[in-house]
Amino acid sequence: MSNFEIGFELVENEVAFVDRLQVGSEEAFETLMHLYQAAIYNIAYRVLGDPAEAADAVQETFMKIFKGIKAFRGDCGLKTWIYKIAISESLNRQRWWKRWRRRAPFSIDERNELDPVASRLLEVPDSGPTPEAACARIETEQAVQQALNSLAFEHRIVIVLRDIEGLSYDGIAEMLGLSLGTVKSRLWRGRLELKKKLEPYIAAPQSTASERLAG
Amino acid sequence: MECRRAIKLLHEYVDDSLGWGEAEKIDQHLRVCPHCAQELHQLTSLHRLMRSLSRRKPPRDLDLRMKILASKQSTGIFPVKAFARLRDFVRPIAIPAVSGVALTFLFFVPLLSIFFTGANLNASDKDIPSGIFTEPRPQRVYLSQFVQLDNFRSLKEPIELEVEVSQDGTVRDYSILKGPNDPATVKSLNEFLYFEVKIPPATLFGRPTEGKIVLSLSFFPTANEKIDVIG
Repeated sequence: MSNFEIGFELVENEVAFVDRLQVGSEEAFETLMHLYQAAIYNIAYRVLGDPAEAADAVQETFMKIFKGIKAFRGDCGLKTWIYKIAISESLNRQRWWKRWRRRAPFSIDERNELDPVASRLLEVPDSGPTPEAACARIETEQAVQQALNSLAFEHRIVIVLRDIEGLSYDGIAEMLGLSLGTVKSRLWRGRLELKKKLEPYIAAPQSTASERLAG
Repeated sequence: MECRRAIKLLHEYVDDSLGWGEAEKIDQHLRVCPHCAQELHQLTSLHRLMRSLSRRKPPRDLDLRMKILASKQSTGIFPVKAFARLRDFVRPIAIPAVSGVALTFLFFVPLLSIFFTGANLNASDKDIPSGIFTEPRPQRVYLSQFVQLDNFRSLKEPIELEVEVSQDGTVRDYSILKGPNDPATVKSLNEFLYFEVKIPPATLFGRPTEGKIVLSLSFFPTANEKIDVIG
């Protein structure tokens, strides 16, 4: 069964699907993971900026989903509920990261997960037209990730959900428990900051109206 | 439209979230404002850049970790599964079972109250024997003033009679087995037996039925003027 078919079936029978999850159907859990694992991993990765942390966040998110599914009453959609947990878990990990990981010692012999270049070079997909183009793409992605990492969490999560995951304003507002106006405002401020940091990768660096307004 | 307002709306414009009216105003403003056009250009580039980011593949071991987790979790919530199975089993019989228990309580709780309040269950004096067959039961009879007593007073020995007793306890017929058989005594016996005496009838399975009984009549002149009837 393809992802689309599974997704379609889930949308059609979300109540029945949740029932199956609540009685502990292993098959239903596997379907759930198949549907959301990649999306949650992407969000966690973009928010945390670290593959290992993102993987742990995904595992922890699903653990919370399994434990909490019995209490799920359908007040919001299943997807919204899952994303809320994932966002909350990512936020917790980011706080923990800030507090402890920076102080932790690391060995120069082990693979450095903190260095995106070092880790990416091992995972370069052979999709670019030339090696130079592939390297340029990696460099751009690295710059974007660094720019994202430098944003405040409240701005970063909104940008990840809107610009990378393509969720609607309403969906983001529901997931984050914010008003629509706050979502738009955070998106505006986040993009402004991001645009400033990614100037070499977008348009010519002219003094723009938004910078004048922000200043 | 002012640039300040246009800049804020440009984000929604890029996201294609503006209404037709406001989008039209932005379009008009962009035609005359190079700064905002530049801003739009940058925003569109940023938007394109963010959308072009490759989706990161989860580490290979994450899939395995997730499968183990799912397996553990489905095992971990075994009580939930067991409860669901029990619920499916009980649901079809729930209504009949509850009705049965309710009716049992309805009928037996009054009886329970008898046991727990210490009430005595005594056999009634007026109990009807429920054996297969019982004889008519004679009893002491008091004579009324209408019966001629003189003939009885002159008796020296008891009169023995065989009496047929009907279902309602009245005497249907009788024959003298031993004793005087003169017309005066027979008349007194007729008056006595047919009009005065009522004998509890014989019973068959607790229901009254016809029966025969042998009686011995003796007269004891006392203050109450009674005749002892001995079966």
